[in-house]
Amino acid sequence: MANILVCDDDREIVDAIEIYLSQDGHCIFKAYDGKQAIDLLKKEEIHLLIMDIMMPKLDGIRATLKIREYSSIPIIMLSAKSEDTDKILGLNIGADDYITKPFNPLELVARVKSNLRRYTSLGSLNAESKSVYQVGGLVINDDTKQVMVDGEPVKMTPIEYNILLLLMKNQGRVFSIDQIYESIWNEDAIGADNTVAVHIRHIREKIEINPREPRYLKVVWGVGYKIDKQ
Amino acid sequence: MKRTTLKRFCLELLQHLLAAGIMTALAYLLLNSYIAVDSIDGPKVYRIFPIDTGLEFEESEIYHDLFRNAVSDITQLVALKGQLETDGILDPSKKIDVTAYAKEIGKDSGGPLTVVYTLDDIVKWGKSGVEYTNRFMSMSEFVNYFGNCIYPENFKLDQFGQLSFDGFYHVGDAQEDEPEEGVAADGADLEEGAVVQAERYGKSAEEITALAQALEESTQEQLEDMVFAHIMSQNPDGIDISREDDGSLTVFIPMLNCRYTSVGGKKQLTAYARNWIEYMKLQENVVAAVESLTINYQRYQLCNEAYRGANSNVKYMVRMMTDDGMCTYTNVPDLAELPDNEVTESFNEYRRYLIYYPDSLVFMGNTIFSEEEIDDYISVYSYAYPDTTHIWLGVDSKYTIQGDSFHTANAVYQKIVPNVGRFIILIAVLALFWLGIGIYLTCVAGMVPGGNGERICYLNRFDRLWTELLLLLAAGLVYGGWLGYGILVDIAETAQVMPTKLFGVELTRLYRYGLFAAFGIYASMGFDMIWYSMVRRMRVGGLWKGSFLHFLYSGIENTVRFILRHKSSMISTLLPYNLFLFSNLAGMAAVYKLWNRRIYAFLLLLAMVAVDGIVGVLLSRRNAEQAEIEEGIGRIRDGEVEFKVDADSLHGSSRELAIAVNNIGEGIRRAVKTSMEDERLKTELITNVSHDLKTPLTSIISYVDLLKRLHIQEEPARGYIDILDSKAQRLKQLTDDLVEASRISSGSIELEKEKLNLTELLNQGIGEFSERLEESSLQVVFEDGDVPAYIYADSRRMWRVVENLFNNICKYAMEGTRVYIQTMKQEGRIEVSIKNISRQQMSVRPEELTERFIRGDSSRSTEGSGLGLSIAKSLVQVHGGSFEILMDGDLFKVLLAFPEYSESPADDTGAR
Repeated sequence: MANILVCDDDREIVDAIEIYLSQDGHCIFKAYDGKQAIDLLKKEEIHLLIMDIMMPKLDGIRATLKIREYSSIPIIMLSAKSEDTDKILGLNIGADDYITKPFNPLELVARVKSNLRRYTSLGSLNAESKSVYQVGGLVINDDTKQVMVDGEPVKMTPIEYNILLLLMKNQGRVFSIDQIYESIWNEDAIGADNTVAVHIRHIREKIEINPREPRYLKVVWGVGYKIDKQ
Repeated sequence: MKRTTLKRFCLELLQHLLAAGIMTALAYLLLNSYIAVDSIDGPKVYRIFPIDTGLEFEESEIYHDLFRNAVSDITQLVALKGQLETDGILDPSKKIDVTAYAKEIGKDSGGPLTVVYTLDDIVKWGKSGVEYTNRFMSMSEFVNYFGNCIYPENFKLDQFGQLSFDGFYHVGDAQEDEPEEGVAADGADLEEGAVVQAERYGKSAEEITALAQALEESTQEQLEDMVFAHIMSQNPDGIDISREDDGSLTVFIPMLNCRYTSVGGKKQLTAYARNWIEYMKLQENVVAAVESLTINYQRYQLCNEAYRGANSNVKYMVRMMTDDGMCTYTNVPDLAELPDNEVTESFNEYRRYLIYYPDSLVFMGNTIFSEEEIDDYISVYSYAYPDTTHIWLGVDSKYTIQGDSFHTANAVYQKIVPNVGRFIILIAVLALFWLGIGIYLTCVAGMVPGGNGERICYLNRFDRLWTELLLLLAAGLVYGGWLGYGILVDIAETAQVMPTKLFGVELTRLYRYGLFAAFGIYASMGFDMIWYSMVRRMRVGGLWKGSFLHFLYSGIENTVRFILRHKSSMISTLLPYNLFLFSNLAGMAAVYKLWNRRIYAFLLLLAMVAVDGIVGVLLSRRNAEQAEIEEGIGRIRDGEVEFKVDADSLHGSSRELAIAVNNIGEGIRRAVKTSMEDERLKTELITNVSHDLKTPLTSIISYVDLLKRLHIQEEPARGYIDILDSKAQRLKQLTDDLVEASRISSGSIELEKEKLNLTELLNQGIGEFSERLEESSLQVVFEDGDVPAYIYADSRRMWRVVENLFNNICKYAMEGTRVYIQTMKQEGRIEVSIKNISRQQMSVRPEELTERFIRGDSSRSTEGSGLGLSIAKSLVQVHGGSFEILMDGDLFKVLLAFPEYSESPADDTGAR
């Protein structure tokens, strides 16, 4: 389906990723340092790059910076550095996603899929009507009451749909549990407790690859929930 | 603390009230124990408690005493009746022979004469007192007044032929001008006359003649001198003789007033006496009779009235045979005519009686009286009681006659005695309570419950006073108590005497009881104050430490030690100081000396002022520099390790000190820097190691997953793969937690603090964990108090805390139980408690759960990294909160507390 370049100085990891991704029918190119990756990128038509940060010769950060000079392909960073600062740095210099080692192989596969879809179908998903809201790969169409994640429809209960719609309509705004409860149930929030939290969790399980590290529906702990603009 | 104090206060109050109760009960006993009865000798007071209790009135001491008084009074009364009555009634015109009466009462002066008065006269005179007239007479008047005694028979010649006076012999019939002669009618007088006659004949006729001749030769003055010499040699009472300047003699003699004239002859006493000796003796008898009879008369009146049949419960009857026939005295007229045996029968019926016939040795009775005792009473009036006397005496036990001593005493006795036992028991019970409370309070004196259930000692302000003051106060209180005791005794003794005044205030009944109660409270309070303070002091061991002596002792000891320790600096300070002082004094002395030469004195003074000024400036500079160094030390202490004292601007020892301080500060700075660097390196090392671990771990996890995808069905292999999978996951968790924990503990995490709602966070947490909780069928009960609980914290770190706690619950809580979560606001703090029931028995201590990472505990066999709680605790502490784990049996409780968010977060020091 797609040509994916996997770059890590640990050959076993590269091999393992190859096994997972080739099962989905992807064509895998392998590189073991930043230099090789850049060379391969120039030679082959690559659709997605999975790259480690700590590598000999040219590390992931510098390689990404170089690649971004001429290419806009999705880059997923794969690193043992799990600090927030590392993640922020990686995403800021042009990476599209950041996965910490040791990773769950299934999550990696899902993220690859998601990034590929967004990359390939990017232009076609422009907001056409006022009742369509989009954040990254998440699209909600209020006319058809349909929720799409990376182009695939997701089934939702009416309450889940309403919560998601509320958050999508007000992107960037943080809603507290009480506020969500009041606007969805149209009732006083007394006794709302954790119903909303449970629903949010269910929504995340449906729309997120890793609900613990959500891309769209983010938890602001102790304050509420939000969907950020992208 | 407050509750304890209140409880103690209440108990002490109760104790004081008990003391008041004890004293009031005691007051009741004491105040009602006094019986005042009227007796012949005036009011008499008896005390029942604690002498007579539990006995019947008729058995009591009081009764016996009253009975004794009655016997005494009646024996006296009967005797008096004999003296003063004729046929049972008082006879004012009864004739009293003075000398015979004096004989009866044993006061006869032995004179030969007597006179007879009527009773009313005697009593009349006696009431106003016997009056004398003092007569002054010259010797010749005296001699003439008591009959001319210048007869030869009255003189004698001594062996030298000198004439001297022999005595006042009566020269009877021979002298015509003797007025008394012939009037002295009674037998005694005649007898006396015969004696005189015999005396007269004691001298022979020759002697008489010689004496007469000698008399003729003597002058009147000589004779008077002789009489004087005789009188002086007799050394008489009541007569005084003095010689005047001109040589004449004066006799001073007290004589009865002229109104004491006799019944028969209406004559003066002098008319009976033939000479002054007889006169004097007669006069003595008259006086004795008058005085005795007057008293007797008065007593008779009193007794007769008191023991009249209608006035007294005492019944008596005395019957005697006298020369005048049978004589009966009684206050029971019905019995007067009955024969003896019937009288005896009727007296036998009385509750207490006494029957006595001295002649036939009959003594009957049921009193404690003995025969000897009644004999004693009778013997006083033996003249009035011939042997034939029969005495009956009884007391009517119904006390039908009101107002007499028996009735009064019985009434009071019956009122108090049956209650004495109850009151004593009441007092004992109250006292026991008092003591009980006292013991309890003694045990808990100075103890307050401390923070962790144990009890701690404390001293209040009063206890910090010097022990000596306490003892002084105690002595004062004891003295006060002693005074109070005196007052109480007074009050008790005058209980029946109404009204009594104390300090000018009239004592009412209420006032008396009030004083007793007040004394009880005073004693109780005083005791409590001193005793409990002593107990508290002893408990703390401050009896000696809190004393003034110890204060003095330690003060002196410290001074001596200080001097010894700082010998060198004392010398270095005192020496210049003394030098300075001395030079100043010397300067002043010199100025004084040089006062006459003004110019030198002025210069010297100027020099002194200059030198003193310099010394002053130096001293103040030194002080200022010291203050500067102190400030520097303070800043270094407060964490400003970079601070340096400017040593160059300082002088002398201050500069040395400043340099030393700077060096210390530098040392601290270096130590802090090194330690921070070490921490950073350690965290970095752990982070790097964990990165290096993660890369191989990634491969392991991936390939284990791939292995699983092969769907290997062979049993051991499948099990092995599962083990590999779970251990690989655990290893992953461990490496993550390791980094996290090391970062937190080294303090190298950055907090992005914001205002967040703990209630919201917990609700989110419950939502996140809802499925896992349902899996373990755990029900969460969340009491959020319906108020937002805002704190200022890093939301993601706080989530980590909540996540770890919920993880813990999901792992370890017993299935099917409830989890209680509670948020509370308390004094600017938000508190969260999370409680659950543990699935397994908890064998670790709470500290072990939270300090595993730091302490490197060995028990790491459980699932997970075992660092969850430790990380949670560290994170909470980084936020300035507290994290506490309590275990009670299977109850596992986590207590979190954070400072509440205020709109202007004053300090943000938590973000480092």
